[in-house]
Amino acid sequence: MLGHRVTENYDVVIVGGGIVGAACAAELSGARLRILVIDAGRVGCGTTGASMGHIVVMDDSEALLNLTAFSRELWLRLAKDSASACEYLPCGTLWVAADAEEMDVVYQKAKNYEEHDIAVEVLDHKSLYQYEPNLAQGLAGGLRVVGDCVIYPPNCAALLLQGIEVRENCNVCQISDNLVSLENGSEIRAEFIVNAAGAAAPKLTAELPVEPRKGHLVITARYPGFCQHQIVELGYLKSVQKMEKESVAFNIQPRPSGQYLIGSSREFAGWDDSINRNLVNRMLTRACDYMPALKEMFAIRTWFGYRPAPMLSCPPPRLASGDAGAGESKNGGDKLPIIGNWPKVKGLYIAAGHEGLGITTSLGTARLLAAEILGQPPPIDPAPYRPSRLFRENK
Amino acid sequence: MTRIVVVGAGPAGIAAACRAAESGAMVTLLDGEPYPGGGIWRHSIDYSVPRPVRNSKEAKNMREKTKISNGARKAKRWFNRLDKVGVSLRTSETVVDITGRSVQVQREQGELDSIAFDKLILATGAHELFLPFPGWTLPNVMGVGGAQALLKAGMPVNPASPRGGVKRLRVVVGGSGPLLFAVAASLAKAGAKIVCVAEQTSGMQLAKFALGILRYQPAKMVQGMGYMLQYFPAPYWPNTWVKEARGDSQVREVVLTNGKRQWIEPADLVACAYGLVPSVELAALAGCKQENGRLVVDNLQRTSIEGFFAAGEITGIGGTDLAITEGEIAGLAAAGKAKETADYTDYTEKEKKQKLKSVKSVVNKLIARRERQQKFARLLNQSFALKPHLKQLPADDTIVCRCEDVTFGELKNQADQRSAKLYTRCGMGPCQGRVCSSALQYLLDWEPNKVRPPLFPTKIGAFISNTESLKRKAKK
Repeated sequence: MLGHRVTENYDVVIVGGGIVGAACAAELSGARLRILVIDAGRVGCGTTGASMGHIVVMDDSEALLNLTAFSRELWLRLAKDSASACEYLPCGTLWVAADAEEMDVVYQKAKNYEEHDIAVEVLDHKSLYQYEPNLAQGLAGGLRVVGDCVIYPPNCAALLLQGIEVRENCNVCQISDNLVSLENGSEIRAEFIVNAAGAAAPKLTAELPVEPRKGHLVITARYPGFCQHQIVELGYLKSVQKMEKESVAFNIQPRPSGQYLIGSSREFAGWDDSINRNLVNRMLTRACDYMPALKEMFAIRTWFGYRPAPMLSCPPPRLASGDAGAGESKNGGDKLPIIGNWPKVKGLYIAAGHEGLGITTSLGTARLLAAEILGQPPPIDPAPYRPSRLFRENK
Repeated sequence: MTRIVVVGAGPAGIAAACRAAESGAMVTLLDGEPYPGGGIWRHSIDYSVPRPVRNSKEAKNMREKTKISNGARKAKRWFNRLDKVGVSLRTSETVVDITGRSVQVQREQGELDSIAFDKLILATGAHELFLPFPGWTLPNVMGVGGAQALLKAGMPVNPASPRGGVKRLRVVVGGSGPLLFAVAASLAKAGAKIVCVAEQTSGMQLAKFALGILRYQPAKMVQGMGYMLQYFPAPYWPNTWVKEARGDSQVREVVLTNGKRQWIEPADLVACAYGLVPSVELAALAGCKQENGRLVVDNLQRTSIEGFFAAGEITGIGGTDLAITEGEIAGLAAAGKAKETADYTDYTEKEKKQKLKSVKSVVNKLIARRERQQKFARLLNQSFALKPHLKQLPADDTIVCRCEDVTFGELKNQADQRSAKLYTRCGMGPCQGRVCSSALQYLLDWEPNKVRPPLFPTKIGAFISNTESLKRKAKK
């Protein structure tokens, strides 16, 4: 048996059983294709398992707004059919403005969302505290995005993968023309290969400009009714856009269990697998600045995950909301995921670089990718996400 | 001066602290409970003052006012020794995190304190293994440790009957190990009526164990007989275990089985435990190497991390005497007093014996003693090894994770502890899987999940340093 190579055949091999890979598999499963999903660990237990599961429409750019809005629509449809399996919580997002300056951003964002038929409510000082009385005193107001919601990512990944062939604890070591090579020496031929390996995607497609951007989360004990919305500070946008080594922003999410997830931190630390206590402290300090009553609550666990951050060298587009944050972006590029055919390897498609929005955009990503693979008309304009934009810039 | 932090003030921790302090080190002894002594010694001395002690002098004063029970002579000796050396004893301080060369402790009021060390001795002991069976979540079904703690806290076991006289609670004690004797005895002494003690291991194993005790530790035999007399004439049934607890608002009866037939006994209270498992959470968070759920240590109780030592039950369940010896060795070694002793790990048994004989030192004496005591530990673990039948204890609708109400049926088809956690929330509650994880390691042969800080729920306010202030404030 030594040296004997096993070669299997599939129509589609999806590398990575996180939420993005799972969504792609589910989307393609209707097309009578033989599909295999391979995961280095357990499906839904990597970055997907570590993430918050906030389904949110982001208006950083026209392209991001289109993708997140389209994806949210798909999530709401999925959650309607299987609300309990998804642990669907229609809590909405509340963007908090600390001062008058941030309040200006609220008005701009509101206008921008409304132009795209995203229902929002501008909150003044008074109505902010009517919705969330536990917020710190002295905040200016906020923006309530009504249709945003919260789901539980690992269960959603499992739900999407129902009835699909999955190979877990299986390491892929190389992707070449129509061929997936496994660490155990065997090979799989496939007409279509999808690299959906999250932050590990560049390990298999070397030129992919994706880097792990570590994030920590803290979960509290149960305090039902403490807050009703996923609450995010407007400064969060800057934390995402600025490519600083470390940054924190206030972000809190109610869970159906009455617990709260507290974020967020962003950190370029490679694959470092230790908890950065200083950063967690900064993150909690920030959270308590916005919600002082958190100080009396108990944290029961801290963990982290690796966001697959796109590190594009192409210039960032003008921000739709006029937020100045992106203008300072040095190497974050357009901050959009990379979705579509990879011209340098035959049969290879990329679904990577979703950073902190992978859960939201997974369903939209899968639709775009499936349309391209199956030769169907795209549901939204796919051009802004195409891998080809990387090469254009490199020339 | 070497700064040594000892975590856990049970027999191993106290012995380690004494030896290290006597060797000239600056020792801090930490324990999350209000009183030192660990699960085994804490209650042997009756502190009548219900508040934590802040130092060993205060502890001594309190102790002198109270009567020492007979079984606590050894404890008393060690407590006295601890009083004499200058150890900073800090009780009601729970270690919640460890980073580099410092531990973070949470005080009762919730604030955090960071304690730096040069050497760390882990003596975090063990917790009981509770295997879930149908009905175990009924009121009045508990672990044996829980029953003992409630007894100490004044739970009445012979409450006044409405028809006059007293109604003695009928108690079934079940599980495995010598602890069952002790708990049955203390319950009987308090006035409960012991229905039976159901020990899962076979009569043959028990006979071997009894012979072994006579050989290695005859004094233990006397102690055991004493316990049995206290709950006499209740039967001690080997090869028997609690299959199910039944009741309405509380447990009323239990179904016992010997694997072949089953029968019913009345019960107002059920106390069960299937032995002890090492409490390795802190060591795991620090990154010390483990094997089969215990900490790996070398001849001088050194763990895989430089400067980190471990002693007592976390290195394998072996009882109080072995824990003390290991603690003494760890204390000496951490204080740098074991330098004259070579590391004999790679030697053969024969070479080791010769070496131990030729080099006369305290450490070598202790090492030789430890070898003898380990024989008893091995006998203990062999004699009370759990029957494979017990893996069938939980039914599909039996709750395994009580924090999150996860049933065995939901868990048994999961691939591992990690996916079970993510898909069913098993072990996500405030206890962080401390209870269910040990049960699942046995029931489904799962590896435990990675330990995440904090080790115990910690106030968020305590984490916060004042380094970063709100943007709003800065602007004002």
